[in-house]
Amino acid sequence: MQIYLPIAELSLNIFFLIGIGGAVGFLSGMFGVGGGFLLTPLLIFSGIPAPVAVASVSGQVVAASTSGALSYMRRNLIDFHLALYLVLSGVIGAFLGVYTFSALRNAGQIDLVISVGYLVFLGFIGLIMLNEAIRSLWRHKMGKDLPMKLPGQHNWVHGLPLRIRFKRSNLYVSVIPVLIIGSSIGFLGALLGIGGGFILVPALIYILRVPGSVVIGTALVQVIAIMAASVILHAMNNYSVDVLLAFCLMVGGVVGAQFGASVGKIMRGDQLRAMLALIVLAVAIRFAFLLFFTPEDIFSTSIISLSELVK
Amino acid sequence: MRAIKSIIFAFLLFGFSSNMALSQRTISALSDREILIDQGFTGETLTIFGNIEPDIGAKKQYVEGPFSIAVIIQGPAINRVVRKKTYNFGIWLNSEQLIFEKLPSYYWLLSSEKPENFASSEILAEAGLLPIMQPLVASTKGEGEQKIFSNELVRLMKEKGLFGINENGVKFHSNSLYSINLELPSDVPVGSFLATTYLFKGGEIIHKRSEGFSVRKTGFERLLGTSAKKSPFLYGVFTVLLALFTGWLGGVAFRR
Repeated sequence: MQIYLPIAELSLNIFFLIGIGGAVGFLSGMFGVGGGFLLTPLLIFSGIPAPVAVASVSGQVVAASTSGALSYMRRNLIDFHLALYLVLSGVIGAFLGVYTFSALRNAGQIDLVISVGYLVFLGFIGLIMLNEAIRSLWRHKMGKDLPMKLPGQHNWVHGLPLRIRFKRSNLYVSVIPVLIIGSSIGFLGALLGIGGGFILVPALIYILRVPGSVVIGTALVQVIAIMAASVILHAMNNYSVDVLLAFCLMVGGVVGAQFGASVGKIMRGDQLRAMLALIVLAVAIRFAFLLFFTPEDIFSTSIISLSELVK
Repeated sequence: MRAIKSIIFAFLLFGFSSNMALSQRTISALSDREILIDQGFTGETLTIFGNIEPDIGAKKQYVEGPFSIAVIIQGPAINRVVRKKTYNFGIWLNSEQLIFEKLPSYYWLLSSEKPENFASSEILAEAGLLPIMQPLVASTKGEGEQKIFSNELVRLMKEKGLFGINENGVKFHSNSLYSINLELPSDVPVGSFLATTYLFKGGEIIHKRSEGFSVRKTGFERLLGTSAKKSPFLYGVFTVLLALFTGWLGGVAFRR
């Protein structure tokens, strides 16, 4: 059954949309990641214009993160004080991200930046994750189940000024790294259509030393806030949010995540991480093809509005 | 799943008098001036019917053929940019671009046979029917590789089904009754369209008539399309609330 997407201005099969939403939701539930970094590329490769894909997936990430965040909130596993700083700086980052997005789109370079951005980030993160997962699998095979190296109490970041006490996280840390992390994630999220949880969580753990118990809930709050902000900003600046597309993805994603989460529970952490790393690398390689191989058609055309002409 | 809709143009050609054989005027009526895009829109084949009729006051109560017809269908004007990728620093990127202003978003030439067969190229050129896609080249801005870019633009638009020529697009069902088959792709632009019909007889244009019709989104699609443009802030907020609600519902339904 074809569905006409009013903003993307094309027809796609509704089951295909719910299907990829569900498949990515399944993976996100299984691995505990948002899934935006998989969904945005999949939509782009399905022919949806990059601006519409980025903006609409942001809406889907809000939905996917909400059920998780509510569950963490009920269990009191969110540091709202820390989340407030991350959210404020994240929204400022999202502002910058959306304006950068509009400028790049007008210059005709948004596809390039998205490809390079995904290639660099996913390639980098995928390699780190794969390395870590293989080591862990190796240790498991050797029968030496070493305990995960716990982060130390302090590092150089804790020597910075403007320190604030975050009671729930049991932290007394400078506000500077918090704001830098928050705004960078907001910027990247708005630019690339990713929640950024898979960068944010390691950053909070390794840089700020946020305890593992509250880190995911707190990260989810920031992801919801910056993705919500980028949806509104993309809608206002680029008119590129397709609510029908977003809704199909949300429905698939929310349902798929439930099944993914149950499968995720019965699999070992290092196996999951190795699989996720391979998927992340595969997406990165797909973007590398776009950049390094001769395109089928070197010419392309798109509609531009009058306001863009004036600039 | 291509629906077929029909629009009826009733062309009433009035033959003034027998000694002014080439001077005619028309009145035309269009029964359905709107093409509506809704949920299941996947493109459409549009059939337009037309009839050539004599003037009410004319001495002759019938029309004499054979006629030939050429129709130009033009969509609302838009601005388009054409970009060219080149290989730089080891990667492919858009490096050159040319903006085309006030370009028809849709442009099809439909005729009952090869236009060259029923009129001389001078007459066709005068009417703007030749060379095809001429209006595009005239509306370009910028210098240099302009011609290459215009040609590429026409090619890309043809691939999208937004530009084209169909020399069998007009069919005569009798001496005077004809129909036009128009392909509207799923990403047909919305707005006001203009169908200009040229009636040929004996190698001359004996009549030219323009008819407007509009393509617009209907129902839910229209609501979404217009609210996204007119109140983008509320539209964005609505999307966020919908996402929060869906996420919450999912959480409740599955007790996560």
